[in-house]
Amino acid sequence: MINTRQLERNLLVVAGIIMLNGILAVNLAHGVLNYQTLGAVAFIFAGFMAANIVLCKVGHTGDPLFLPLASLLVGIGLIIILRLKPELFMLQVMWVGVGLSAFLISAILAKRLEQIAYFKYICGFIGVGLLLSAILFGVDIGGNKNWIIMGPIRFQPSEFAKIFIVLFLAAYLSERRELLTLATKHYGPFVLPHPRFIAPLIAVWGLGMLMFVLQRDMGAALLYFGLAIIMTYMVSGRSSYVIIGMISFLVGSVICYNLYSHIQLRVDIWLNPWSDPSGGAYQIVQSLFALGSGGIMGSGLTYGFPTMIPEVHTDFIFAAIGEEMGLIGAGAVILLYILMIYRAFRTSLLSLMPFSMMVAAGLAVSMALQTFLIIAGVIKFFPLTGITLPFISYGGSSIVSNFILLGMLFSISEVRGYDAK
Amino acid sequence: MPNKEAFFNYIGIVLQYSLLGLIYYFLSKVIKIIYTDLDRSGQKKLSIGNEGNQSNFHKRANLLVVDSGHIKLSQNSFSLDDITYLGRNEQNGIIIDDSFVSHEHASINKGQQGYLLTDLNSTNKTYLNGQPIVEATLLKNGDLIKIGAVTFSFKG
Repeated sequence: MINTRQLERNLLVVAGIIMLNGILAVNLAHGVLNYQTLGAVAFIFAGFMAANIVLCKVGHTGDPLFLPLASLLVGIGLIIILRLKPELFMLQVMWVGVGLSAFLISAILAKRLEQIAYFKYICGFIGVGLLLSAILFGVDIGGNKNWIIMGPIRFQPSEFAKIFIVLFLAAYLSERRELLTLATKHYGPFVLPHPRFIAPLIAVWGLGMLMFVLQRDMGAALLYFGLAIIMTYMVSGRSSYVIIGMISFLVGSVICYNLYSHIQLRVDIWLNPWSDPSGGAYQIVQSLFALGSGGIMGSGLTYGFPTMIPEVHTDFIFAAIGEEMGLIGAGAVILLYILMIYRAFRTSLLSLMPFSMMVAAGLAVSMALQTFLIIAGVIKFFPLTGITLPFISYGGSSIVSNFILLGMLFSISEVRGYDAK
Repeated sequence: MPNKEAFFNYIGIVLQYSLLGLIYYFLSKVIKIIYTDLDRSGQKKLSIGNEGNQSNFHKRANLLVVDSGHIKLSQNSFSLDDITYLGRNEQNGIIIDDSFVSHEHASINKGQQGYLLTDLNSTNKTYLNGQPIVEATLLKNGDLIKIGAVTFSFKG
């Protein structure tokens, strides 16, 4: 039988060749061979191979698909960023390097994941604190009011908050899973969970609404609220939580819609972007044009005009992929996410401890929701959201936090192997 | 010089297509790994199933504890007698000390066709594979029985 790390290495080589191929294609289209970018490709490839060798040395037997899938997504992201914003390419390469070391650290540290369950309230406070800090002290950079600037460092706290929130919810819910399933109150024909156990959910709902109103960030609000609801549902198996959650979110959204004009504007842009295509709806209209002109085969890298879209290298990177690599390329990216999320859920199902099971499931849900919300926003399936596409979008916070998340999943996928022996 | 430019152009075009081709080659490799993975776990299940069938004639059926919640149970696996009671009372064959479990919660008795699970009018119901049972139900190998916070898997 082939060793799992050997399997991982083979796939990493293919992903490396794909990245080299893409970077060469962009370089040739510009007519000059930029040796710096080729060096960067070699650096990233060496980084992934080094990660593989370190994992081999440590004797890690985690899922062999996580790292190659991430490396291909990162590779596609780098190709697109080189094409869209060559000046940001080297920075992104550096962030991937930092992300990879974060991946290794979290993959090795998360072997002691069970101990984190003792610090669940600290995790919860850090998570909520990060979110609140963005709401209170957030600085507007590039249209999103979710940046924190501390001296020379600037980062997006919401990217990191999701990991802490998942850890807190996993510990809190797996500890109380019996109560959530069994404690019920009957209100006429409805069987509802006891109010005491919905209180944390109401808190998350309030936080979501606060983010919605103050940050104008429906994506993040939905991400956190959906995470809490889905995790509660997974722990209790009761659909009443999902129904209550959806109703309360709808009610909250309708109230906010009627109270605040900026939310009305957002929704109106979503419903009818063509009423103001050069003003408020410029971004989404350009994104739709990009996706439409891409067609099935795409225009080819550097042959489209995705730079017409504002913020194309972060939130709208999926539109650029759709234009230049076509339905084929965009479909492949979605498939990569599906496979990664499938492996994450599989990790959760194969895990033996309730806490690590919930952590893996929560991380899988957060990745799935984030990918779904931003792609849905770009294709106007959903009102526009200000979150990044994991592993592809430009941005240090996003890359590093997603690599930490992947490291934890990777580590959980191994714990099972230990117990099986 | 135009020759060189045209040459670069050709390579560029080839690279554009090979990029997409390679991405799908990668995807097919990944899916192949997942496929063999699923296949293997399927075979494993099958072999376990066969062993179960062979030993069916000799061995008694068992209840394996899948999830005990936070309740301490005396064993991880209980072998079933002709009739086994489950509940909070000390007299039961399988004692589950949990406030959500009734004193005499459920019983499993051996019939002609196999083992039957019966709910003894418990307050919080007995769940078989996620559904509350209303009448005596025949158990199949691998069925999940949930009483209070505890989940058993039926092996027989």
